[in-house]
Amino acid sequence: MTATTSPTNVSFRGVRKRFGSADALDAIDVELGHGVTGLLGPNGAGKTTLLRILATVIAPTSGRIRLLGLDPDDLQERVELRRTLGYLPQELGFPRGFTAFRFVDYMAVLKEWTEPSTRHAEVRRVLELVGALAFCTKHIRVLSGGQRRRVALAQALLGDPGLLVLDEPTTGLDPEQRAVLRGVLSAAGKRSTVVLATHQTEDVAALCERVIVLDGGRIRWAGKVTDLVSTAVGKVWLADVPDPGALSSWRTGTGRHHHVGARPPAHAELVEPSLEDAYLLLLGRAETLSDAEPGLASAS
Amino acid sequence: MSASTLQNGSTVIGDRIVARRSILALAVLEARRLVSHPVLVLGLVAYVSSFPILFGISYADADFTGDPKAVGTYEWQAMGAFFVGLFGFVAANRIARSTSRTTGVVDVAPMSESRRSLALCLAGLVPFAVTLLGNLLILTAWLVHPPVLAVGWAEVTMSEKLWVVATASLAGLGGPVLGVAVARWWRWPSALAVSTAALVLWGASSALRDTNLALRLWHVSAPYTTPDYGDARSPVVWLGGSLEWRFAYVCGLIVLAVIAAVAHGTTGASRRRLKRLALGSGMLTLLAYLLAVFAGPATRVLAP
Repeated sequence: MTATTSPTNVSFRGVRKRFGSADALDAIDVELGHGVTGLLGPNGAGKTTLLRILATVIAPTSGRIRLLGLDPDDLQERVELRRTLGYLPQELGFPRGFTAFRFVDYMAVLKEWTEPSTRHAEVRRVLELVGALAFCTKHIRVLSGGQRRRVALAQALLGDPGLLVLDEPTTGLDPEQRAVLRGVLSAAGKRSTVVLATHQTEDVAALCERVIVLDGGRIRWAGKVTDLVSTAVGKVWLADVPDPGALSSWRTGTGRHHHVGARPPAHAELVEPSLEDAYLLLLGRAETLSDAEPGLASAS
Repeated sequence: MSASTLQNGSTVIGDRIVARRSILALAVLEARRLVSHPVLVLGLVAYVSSFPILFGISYADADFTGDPKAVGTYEWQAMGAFFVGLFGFVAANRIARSTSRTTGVVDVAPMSESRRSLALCLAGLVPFAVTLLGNLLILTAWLVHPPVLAVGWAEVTMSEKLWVVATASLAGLGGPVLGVAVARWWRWPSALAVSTAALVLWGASSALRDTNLALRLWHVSAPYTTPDYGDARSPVVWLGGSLEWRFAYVCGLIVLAVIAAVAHGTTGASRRRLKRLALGSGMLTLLAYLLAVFAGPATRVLAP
């Protein structure tokens, strides 16, 4: 399946990445324009590998890629691309001795912001965007995990990048910070292409227009978030008793049982599905019903 | 102006301007990090603190009421080489390696690793300036008021004194530059300790009397060495060889270290260009070394 929006800023054609004898990504076709796209998938699905290729950290084993109209295989074009690329890796360490401001300032120089007063203004802007201006003079080593994450995000936002690649940006953030971040990223999505990987389906539901579900290095589903959610309509219900036949089931805070599965019992109370329900259903179906529905299982 | 703004409709010349500006901007930041690194701060404090001790010894017993203290006029250059050069080597190495924690984002910045290395090497000009100024301060003070009892002060020409000061001051630059090169190429955990020990041993073992060609070759080869030698059993001698060519040789070593630092991470045409540059610089450095060994005057006795 191919995710397509217009105009195309990200184009993957038959992209494959092997590590040793294992395929981390296999035959990935993706086309993305402006807006926020969420990458979902279980651990080891290939999300981080896909993001690392998008961020030009690693090259694919085969396949063709165009990012913002540039070819990352070409050295000159790769440098040009990196000038308008923001990247937040899953885990970012910080060099010792830096304050938050100094670190983002250092990154701004590496992004070729050479004029000090303009650079400092830009550093203050991105720190303010992520709510880090208040503690920007503190050494990074004394900051909390959430504060560090915001500093790391600030460097990715330098210069309003045309392509913003974020690997689990909300990890370690409290609900209020996550809400602020959603505002920042949705605003960025109006001007640029934002791709984020996360395990938080609620972030994707709240923020992304599109979602790509990866599993085993292949795309299981790609399209609008609302379309994915609609695949779970009529397949999520509440009941007073557990249902061992459901794909996924848990006891909610009200004492009732939330079931996700294809066959609701006769007296079940159907509820509005969430993205998480649709995601669980999709992966559950892909694993258990692949023989019955080969079109879905081989969507990529 | 941001780089991306400048890059719109960019040309090769535009790219070069951006590259130079960004290297200089980063060199300024790296220089600040270098001089505020605890290891170099310690070295600089120790270096500056040695001045009052030196001058105290130089002018002790100036009224000749007691035994004047003999000053090893040229060994004092080792203070800058040790406290600024060697400590700068360690500090620059630590700074160069510190960004390995941030590899994910640093590697995808438009500023390449080789340009970052060059900026770090340029930051070494600050400790070099400190060492040069410190050594010139000592020289000037002694020219105005010669030490009460200085070994070889009067017997060595002004030109020789200046070459010794200039060459010794290069340690302030060479240390940090070598620190960057080592950080780029040797990334195993004890690389810094091993290379520091090797550097100290090389410098210390070169301070010997050049009684044969092998010893002369070894003496001249060290990035820092004293120009004179003396011990309790033998007279103080001014070691042979050309000071001018030894200065050129040490400059060559620094250029080679810069090339090594910058070469890491390059590929293709850039790597080939740097290899050619390294080959040319290496040959000139070797030539300067041989001339430093063979072209200068012979060893002469300064004091019995």
